[in-house]
Amino acid sequence: MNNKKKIILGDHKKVGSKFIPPMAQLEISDISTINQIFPEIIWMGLLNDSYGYREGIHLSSEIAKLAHAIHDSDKHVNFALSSSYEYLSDEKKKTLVEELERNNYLVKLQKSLYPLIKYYEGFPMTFLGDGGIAESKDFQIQKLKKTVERHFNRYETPGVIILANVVYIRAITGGLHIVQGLEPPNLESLVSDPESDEAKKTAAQVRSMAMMEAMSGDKEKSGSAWSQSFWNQGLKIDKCEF
Amino acid sequence: MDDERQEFFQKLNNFINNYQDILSAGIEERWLKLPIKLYDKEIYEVIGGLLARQATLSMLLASSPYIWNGHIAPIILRVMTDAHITLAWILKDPPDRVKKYIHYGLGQEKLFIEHLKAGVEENDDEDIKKLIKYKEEWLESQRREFLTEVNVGSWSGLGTREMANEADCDSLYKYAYAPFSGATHNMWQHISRFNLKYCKNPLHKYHKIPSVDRASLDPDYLYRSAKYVDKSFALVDKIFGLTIDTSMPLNWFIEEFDKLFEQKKTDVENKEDD
Repeated sequence: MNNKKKIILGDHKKVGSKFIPPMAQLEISDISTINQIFPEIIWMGLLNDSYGYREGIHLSSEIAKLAHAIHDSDKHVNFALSSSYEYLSDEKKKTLVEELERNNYLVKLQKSLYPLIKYYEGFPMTFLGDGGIAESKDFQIQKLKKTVERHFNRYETPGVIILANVVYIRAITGGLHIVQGLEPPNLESLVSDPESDEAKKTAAQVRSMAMMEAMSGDKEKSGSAWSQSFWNQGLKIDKCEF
Repeated sequence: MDDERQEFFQKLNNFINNYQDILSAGIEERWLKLPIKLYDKEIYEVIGGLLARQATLSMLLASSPYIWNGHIAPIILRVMTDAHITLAWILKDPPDRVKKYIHYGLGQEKLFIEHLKAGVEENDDEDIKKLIKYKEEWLESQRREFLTEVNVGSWSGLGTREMANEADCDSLYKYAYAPFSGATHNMWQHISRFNLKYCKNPLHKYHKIPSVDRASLDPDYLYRSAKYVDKSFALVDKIFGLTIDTSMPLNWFIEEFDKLFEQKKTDVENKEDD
């Protein structure tokens, strides 16, 4: 029998009258995935829900690559985050729209992102235009609600996939450098076999890598203005439900 | 209300009345059997007062089924656990600790009277003046005001946790006093469960909104109050070697409660057989 009684909060450090848990002793910043990152990437969730994972990921990658190719800054910009598009000048945005139209991506993007473009003020990708979609506001808001609900939990597959896309887009636009000898995350496993151990390991990796996007760069890049705006508009867009 | 429900409520009413009688009888019997030394009457007044406090709280909780819920009952139960810890700590050294307890209470009353007097200087209120007079008379009947000290710290010189520790009430402190403090002090762990509810709209980040919904009734709260008054009774019996004929509240509660609901179950089964 183990006679040593377990010490309550034994792994915590006592400072005055407080017991500080081990992680909190590292003095790391507090990032909220829901508050700060989710609004930045939910547009990709709309694409995935509209067209399925393969085509959704393809569309978001294409627009990100095109945007990256024409953007002016010599710093890497991750166009997986919607507020990154604010870095583009009006002229560059116009060019991007033309390119998307030429490649037959524009209508698909407009159709899928319509709820955000039409009803959310300050959505950074509004420049894509609403394409004159006919469906009612109610229909569009319900569509957005379903997507937000599906992607809300970052431990479930839809939520993991859009976080993975943040990493993927960074990689395909030359912003990701893996140290030699280290294995890159197997993003394919998230789509092909989400319940596998490989996928679970990858999911953990992408969650922490996506958090770093919010921690890097300036406040604007981390999207705090759009992120705040997205959530703050919720009560105006729709009523509470019980 | 149909006959069956009416009958059940009548039986519940009887159960509550009988429970209150048990507590009342328990207090009376203990008071008669306590080896009171009138020279140190204050010791027995404090012990008797705290026991009566426990019984009163439990009796009033019993008589109000609508507050057998998470909104109100924990406040009462927290008071009861506090009363037991106070009683248990005092019983470790009654002569010294009863004095501290009483003097502290008198000092608090003196302080309140001073606040009232300061208030009445600005705002000449006849009712307040009467209240001051009444309170001063009460205070003087116990101890001369000019000898009454005012202590703005803890009455025992210890926090409740230390008192519980010294009085072998550690478990009661950890598993009852501290958790019930959330309701008593309107802390987040209580408010977020009882006074807020989730909005199901994902566009609202599943935020919580104020709720005044009724909480469900749970006789477990009454059971706990029986437990605490039983604890206080048992402690005094042990310290003073009392043999009490009146049933102990907790045993009585369990037996009669089981009978009440066993009967209800039988009634329901009989009705289903019909």
